[in-house]
Amino acid sequence: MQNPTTYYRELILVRIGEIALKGLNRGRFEKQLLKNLEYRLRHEGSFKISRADSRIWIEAGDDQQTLDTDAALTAVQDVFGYVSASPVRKFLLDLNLLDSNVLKLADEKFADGQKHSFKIEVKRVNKDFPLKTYDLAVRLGELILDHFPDQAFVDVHEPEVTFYLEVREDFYLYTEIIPGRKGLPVGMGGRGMLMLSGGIDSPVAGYMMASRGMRLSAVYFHTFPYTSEEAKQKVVDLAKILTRYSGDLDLHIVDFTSTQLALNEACPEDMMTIVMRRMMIRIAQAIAKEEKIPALISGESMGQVASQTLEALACTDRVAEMPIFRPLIGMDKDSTIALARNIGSFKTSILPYEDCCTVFVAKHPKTHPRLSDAERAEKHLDILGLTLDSVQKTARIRLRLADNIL
Amino acid sequence: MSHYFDQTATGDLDPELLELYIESLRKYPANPATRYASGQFAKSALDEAKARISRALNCLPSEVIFTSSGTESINTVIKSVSLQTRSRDGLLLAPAAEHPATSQSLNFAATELGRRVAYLPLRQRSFDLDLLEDSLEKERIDLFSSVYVNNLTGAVYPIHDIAALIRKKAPQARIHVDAVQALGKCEINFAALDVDYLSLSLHKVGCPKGAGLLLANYKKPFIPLLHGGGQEEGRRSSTENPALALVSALAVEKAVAGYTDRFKKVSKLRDAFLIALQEEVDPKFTYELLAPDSAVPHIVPLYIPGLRAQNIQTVLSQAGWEIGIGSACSSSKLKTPQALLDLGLTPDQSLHFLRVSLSAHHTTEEVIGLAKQIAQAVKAYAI
Repeated sequence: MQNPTTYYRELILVRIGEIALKGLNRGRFEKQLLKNLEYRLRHEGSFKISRADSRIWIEAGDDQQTLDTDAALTAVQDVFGYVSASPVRKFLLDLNLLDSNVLKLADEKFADGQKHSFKIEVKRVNKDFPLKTYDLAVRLGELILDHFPDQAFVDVHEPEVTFYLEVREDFYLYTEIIPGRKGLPVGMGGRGMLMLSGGIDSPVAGYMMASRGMRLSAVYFHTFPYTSEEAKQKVVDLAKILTRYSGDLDLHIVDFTSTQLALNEACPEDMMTIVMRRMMIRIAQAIAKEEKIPALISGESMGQVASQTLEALACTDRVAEMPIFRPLIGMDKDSTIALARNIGSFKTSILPYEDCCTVFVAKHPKTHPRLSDAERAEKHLDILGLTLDSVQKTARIRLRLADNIL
Repeated sequence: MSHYFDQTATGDLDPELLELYIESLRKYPANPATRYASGQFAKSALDEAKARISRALNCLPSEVIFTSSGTESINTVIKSVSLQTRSRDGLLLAPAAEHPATSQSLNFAATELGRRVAYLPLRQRSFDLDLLEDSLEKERIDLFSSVYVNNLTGAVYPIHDIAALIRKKAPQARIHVDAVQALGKCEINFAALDVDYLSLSLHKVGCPKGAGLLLANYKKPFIPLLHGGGQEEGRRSSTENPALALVSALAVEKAVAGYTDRFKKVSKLRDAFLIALQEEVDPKFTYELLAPDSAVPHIVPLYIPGLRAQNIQTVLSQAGWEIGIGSACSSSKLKTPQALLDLGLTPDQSLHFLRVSLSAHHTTEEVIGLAKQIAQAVKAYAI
C-alpha cells in the first residue's frame, strides 16, 4: 500500500481521440504513433511511454525524479496523430489528497494575484467511487472559492481556467488541453516525392501530406548559375523544416541547367513554363521510381499564377505516370500563408532569392494551352535523353529529424 | 586559391597594416581623453597620426578628423551644411550617379529638413562643367558635393575646375569632395584643391574596416554628427582609437607614395585585360566598356548583354574569381540603384553591369585569366 501523502505522479496524457479507425488499422495506428512519440522523446531526455485503453501516457524515465513536462510537450508538439495532450497529476482516490492537490494547482493558476473565472468539470468513470459527479464538482468549487475569495469566481460558460477531474482507478487532475496537430502518424501513409521549390506553397503541400501519415522525399531543380547558391540553401532550409514533421527526408537536387538550356533552344517562349513543368514531372517521377516512391506531391493550386489554369494543369498532368497529390488545389492564398506561418516555413520562403530562373519565364505565357500545343513545343526535344541526363545529374542529401528538432 | 577583383568594394587587407594595428592596440590601450600618463601616451599616438596624415595630404593637423568610414564623413558634411544653411534655403547640388552615402543623405535633407536638392546629369558619363556653370547662373547654392572618382565608372571629375567655378560664382557655397575612390589613385592635395571638406575611406586602401577620415577646412566649422564627450575638438564625439589612427596614417602614407607608379602599372594591366577580353569573348557576344576617357584604370565598368552580371559573378565565384556587379535581381520588386539609371542604363541593362577592379597587386597573367573566365562564363551560359 503506497503512502497516500507521497503517492503522486505527474504525467502527460496524449489523447488519440475518436478517430474512425476500425479493426486492424487502429492497432497499426497506435503502434506507429507510439513509435514516433518515442523517437522524439528519446532525443529530449529520459521518458517512459505507455499505452492503455487508447490513451497514451508519458512519464519520467525510471532514472528521473520528476517529469520535465515542458521538454516532453515540446518534443511531441510536431508529431502527427494525436488530438491533444494534457499534463496530468495523478494520485490515490483519497479526498484529502484531492483537496490538497486541487488547492496546490489553484495556487499555481492564481499566482498572479489577479481575478480569474473558473469551473470544475468532473468525469466519473469509476462508478464505485462514493461521491457523485455533481457533489465532487460542488465540493471542489466551494473549496476554491473559500481559499481564494478575492480572486476566484465561477463562470460555467466561458471560464478562464477549467479544473478537469477524472475519477478512475486514481484521480487524474489537469487544467490544460494542448491541441496536437492531429492527422495520421507518419509512416502510415506511404511515401511521397515532394516537388520542392523555395516558394510558400510547396513546403505547405509537403506538410499537409505528412499530416496524412506520408513520409516525404523531395526534389529540387537547381539551375546554376541562373539560380543562386542562396536560393538552393533556402530550399535545403525548407526541407530541414519539413523534417520536424515528416521525419528524415532525402532531398534530391537536380542539376537542371543543361536541360533548361536545351528547352530554351528548342521550345517557343510562350510554352516554356508548361514544357518546363512537364519535364520536371518526368524527372521527378523517374527519381521517385528509382526510390520506389509511388506518388508525387506538388504545391500547385488553381488560378494563382498565369500558368496554373485548369488547361495548364491538365496539360502538365498528362506526362504523369503516377498520382500527383496537390493538397493546395482548392485553397486560397491566405490559408496557405497562415499554414506556412504555423509550420515555420513562411519566413524562409519569402526570402528574396530567385528560385525558378526568372530569365527563362516568358513575359506572356500561354495560359490555356492545349495538349497539342505542348506536344508540338516538345517536338524537337530528346525527352528521354534529357530525362535520363537530369536523373544522372542529381545529388542527394539526407536531412535528419534529429539534427533539426527545435 | 581565390582571385579577388573587387577592390572598389574593399581593398586587399595590407598585412603590414594588420600587424601594426594589433601591435598598436596592445601599446595604446588607454582612453586618449584622460589626463594620466597612459592616456596622454595614447593621445600622443593620435597626434602623431594626424601630423603624418596632414603632411601626406597637405592640410593642417587640426583639419584631420578620424571617423568610422567614408559614409560617416559624407553624412557629417551633408547633414551639417543642410542644417546650417536652412534659413538661406539655397539649393543643395550634386552630380547624378553619386554613392548612396551622398544621395541618401541629400534625400534625408530634402524629406526631413525641407531642403531643395538637385542633381546635375552627367554627359557621356562624365562631369558636365558647362551644365554646372549654367546652374550656378540660375540658382543660388548652399552646398556642392561630388565624388572625385566615381565608384561605378572610374570617371575622374575635374575637381580643381569645379572648385574654381564655384568659388567664383557661388562664394557662399560649401564644397565637399567624396574622395573615397581617389585615394591611392590620384593626387589629393587638400590645400591646393580649395574645397571645404574631403571624405576618405581607409578600408579601400588596405586598412582594417572602421577607419575613415574627414578633412575639414579650419575656417569652415560644421555641426557635428555625433554629440557627446567632445572629442576631436567637439567635432566628432566618441572615444578615439589611437591604434587605428596610426594604422590610418600609415595607410594614407602608403597610398600617397608611389600612386603614379601604381597608376602606370594598372594602366598596363587594364590594356592587357581589355585586349584579352576582346580575344577571348566569342564575337557573337557583344560587350561595352562604360568608362569615359578620363577614367582611372583601376575601375573597369563593363556592360555585357549576353548574360546577367550576377550569373557571371556566380559562375566566377564558384571557380574562385571574385568581381563586382551593379545590381542583382531578386524576386521581390526590382530595385535598380539610382546611380546606374543616372549612367543612362535601363533597369534591365543594369542587371548586366559588371565592375572589375584592378590593382597593383594583380599580374598580367591574372587579368588575362579573368578575361578568359568571363568569356567562358558568357559562352557557357548566355541565352
